[in-house]
Amino acid sequence: MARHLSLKVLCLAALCIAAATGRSDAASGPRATPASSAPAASDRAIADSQARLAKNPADPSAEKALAAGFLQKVREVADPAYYTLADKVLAKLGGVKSKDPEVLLLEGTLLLARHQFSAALRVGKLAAAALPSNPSAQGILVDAYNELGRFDESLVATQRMADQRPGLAALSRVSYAREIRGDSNGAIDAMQQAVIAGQGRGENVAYVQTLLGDLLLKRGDVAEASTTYAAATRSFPGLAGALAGEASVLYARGRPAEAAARMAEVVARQPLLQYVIAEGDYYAAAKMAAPSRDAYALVDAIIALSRANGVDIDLEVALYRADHNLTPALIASTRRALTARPGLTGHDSLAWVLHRLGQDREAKTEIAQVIAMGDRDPIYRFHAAAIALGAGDRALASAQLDVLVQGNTRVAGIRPAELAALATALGRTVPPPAP
Amino acid sequence: MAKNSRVVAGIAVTALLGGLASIGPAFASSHREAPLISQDPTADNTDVYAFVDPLDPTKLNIIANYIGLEDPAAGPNFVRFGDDVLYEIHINNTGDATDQVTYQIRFATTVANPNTFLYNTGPIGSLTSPNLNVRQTYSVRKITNSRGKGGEFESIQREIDPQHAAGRSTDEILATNVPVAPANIGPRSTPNYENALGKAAVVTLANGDKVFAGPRKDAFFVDLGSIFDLLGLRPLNGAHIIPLPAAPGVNSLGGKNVHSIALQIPIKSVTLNGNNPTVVDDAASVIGVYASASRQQVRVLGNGGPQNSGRWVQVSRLGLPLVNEVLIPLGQKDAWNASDPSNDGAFTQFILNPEPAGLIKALYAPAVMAVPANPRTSDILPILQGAGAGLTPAHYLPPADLLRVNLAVGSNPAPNRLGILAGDSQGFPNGRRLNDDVVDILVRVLAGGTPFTPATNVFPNNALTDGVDTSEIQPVSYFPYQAPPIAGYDQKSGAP
Repeated sequence: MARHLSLKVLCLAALCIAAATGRSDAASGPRATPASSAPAASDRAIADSQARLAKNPADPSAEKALAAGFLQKVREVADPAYYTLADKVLAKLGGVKSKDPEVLLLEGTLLLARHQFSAALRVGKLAAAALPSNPSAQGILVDAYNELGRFDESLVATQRMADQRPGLAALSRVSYAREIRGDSNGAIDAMQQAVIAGQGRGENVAYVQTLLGDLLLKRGDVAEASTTYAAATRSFPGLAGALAGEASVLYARGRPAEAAARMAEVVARQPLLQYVIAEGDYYAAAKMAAPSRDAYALVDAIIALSRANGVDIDLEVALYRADHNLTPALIASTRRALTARPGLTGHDSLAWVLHRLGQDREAKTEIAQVIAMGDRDPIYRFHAAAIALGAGDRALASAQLDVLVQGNTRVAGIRPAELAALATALGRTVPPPAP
Repeated sequence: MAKNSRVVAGIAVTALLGGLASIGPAFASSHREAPLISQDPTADNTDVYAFVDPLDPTKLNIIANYIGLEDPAAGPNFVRFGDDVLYEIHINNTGDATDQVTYQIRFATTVANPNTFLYNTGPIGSLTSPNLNVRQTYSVRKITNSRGKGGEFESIQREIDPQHAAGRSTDEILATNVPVAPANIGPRSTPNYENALGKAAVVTLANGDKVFAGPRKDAFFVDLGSIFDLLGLRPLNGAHIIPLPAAPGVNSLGGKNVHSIALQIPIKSVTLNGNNPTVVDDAASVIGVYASASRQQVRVLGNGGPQNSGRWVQVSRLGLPLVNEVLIPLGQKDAWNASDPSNDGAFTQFILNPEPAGLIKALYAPAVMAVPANPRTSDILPILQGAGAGLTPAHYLPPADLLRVNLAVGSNPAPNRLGILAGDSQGFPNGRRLNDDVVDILVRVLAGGTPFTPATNVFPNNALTDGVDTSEIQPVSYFPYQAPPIAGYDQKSGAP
């Protein structure tokens, strides 16, 4: 295990160095950690674009294709250095000041991926002005508005996007709009429609099948979620989200050691922060302290790598630190992060940090904004219950626990012992795992 | 990579943006990062063909292709039509670009055994073979004298839009549960494909119509790789501003399949006078055809009730080949796709001021061409008014992006791929046959020619060609006319 760990850390360190030196030579981009078994369509796209640029260095369409290829590559290998490469290519085409609407669409998606939502909104508006009937431009607005907490505006843009082209991209966002407002059944309906609309193009449909699996799992339909993740793996073998879903099914079924082993495989393919944290959490729940610590040890490397490539994960880091590395300074830094991303994630993260540092009154105000939307996410509801109890409001705590136990409670981010203690304090019990 | 691929330089990346499935999960997100710039191939028209039948002069063939650039070896999730898409073929016979006859096709997929991921669990010997696990069927509905979208909600449309005149309208379900031809997989799964499955999927309906839906070899032929490369035409590589050695054209659709809906219908059932026309220079002899795909509108938030309002949103349309891809600018494409031919007046400025014509001029040196000045009201506009379909100015129709077919012009037993430019009056732009070389014809149209006749097909314009004159697999001599799909087993390696 230790050797495996150091290999992982070295690989990530190498990527850090690559990013820090800002290598812009597209031909020798950073190598990914152990290659995914997924087909390398993006590699082909990148190679084709490079060949065209070799013949004709000033070909803007090849440059756009190259940037698009890099953005595609990230989702296969989770290497944020490709964001930096895409950024450099798009900068040559004028970046956010470009008059070319396709460049703006690419810039918008890059900014969203890096969690720079205010900038993404600005670019999205320019793209939408240039392409008033284009659903992708609306999609940039939807995502940016959501993350900036401007939910009424995101709803308008979502409806417009769905009016223009009710296909996979729009329907998955319709699903999200329903989900955050607490309509789980409607969210599942819409995501099922997205899956039907996306058929025939493996990665698209596999990704939304994974999202569908996540929704089903949240609602407590563990068996259906499992079938859906299996379908996603068939659509696009090796898709990390589908494999992570299978791990989360194991965890929901009360098999944390197996879940952790599965998640370790996922991390080997795509070391995303949420997967690494889940691996650590699953090992911890299985009472395997050493592997759990090893998993968490990767977190700092990922944080460094993300920041080196301009990806803002400050809120996710705050949530992690609240549970693993609490200091009073965390309140101020989380408030700062919140100003850039005043959405549901932000208020939840700040609420939890405040709660961990004993400031439940303030925490209650923060979490109230999240709960008011209606989102039935188990993390939000667990946080709300714990905060309400800490603030002395047993009725509210009990009401939040009611919502929580209607769905799946066994998720990364909720420590089983803490949930059990919360339930006991309210005179309740936690339901047993699903079969 | 559907019809968006068939575009000159600068718009090429739309194809790649389409291939950019998602900016996937970034670093630890509790929000969703769903696919953003997502393709929608099952609802993309690629080509429309319409021609009088070579074997039966009383019949008209209409072929609408969708999805496009399909690799034959596409398992385990073989490409299908969209169950959630409304596919339509629209026919107009009054010249004003409204629908008089609309065929609506809807698909439904069933999976016999969801516990296996296999498309088939043994050889598929017939359309009803128990070994075919993933089955798709379709229904055909014909609406006559309809106006507006989606016949089933036509009465609602009439209430909310007075322009939907309350004319006499008939609405019939012609067929249900018709099997779609399955994928052509290989010698073990689909032995004897064409006899057992391809031809077997042709159905003759009670009213004499023949229908077919399923995969076929894509009959379109074009050198996309070169055209993308700054409007290169390989045989003319030396004349380009960035010269290269001359080379033969490469058919980008070589080795590719497509999904096809084909109809063969009696001419009498679609003409204005209910006859088989004989007078060529007569508006009543000409029909206009276009195909479309629509998706059902969705209401983001409802009040617990059904959240699909039922109204169909058109997301793709195709009449004249290459109008949308080549002549409508990027910023207008989505609006174009969503609009009807009756609204084409709003887009006329783009058609009459074609950007590619300017590119031809700029890239092929002033000495080679004398491209007419914009607006192209004397040559391109008349094509939209029926000039290519045998009509003289006295009988011109309102301009629209429709494939106009003159049903008084019989089938030509010795067709020429250049159609009218070679004196073959049955060819494009009078309808479109599978072997009409629309790329060469349109490039010559763009380079100029008033009027659009063989007299204009002279040097230097007649040198314009992408070098791809026909498909590597020829059409067959029987309905549905496109060749059987290439088997996945036979896919050549290194195919794009």
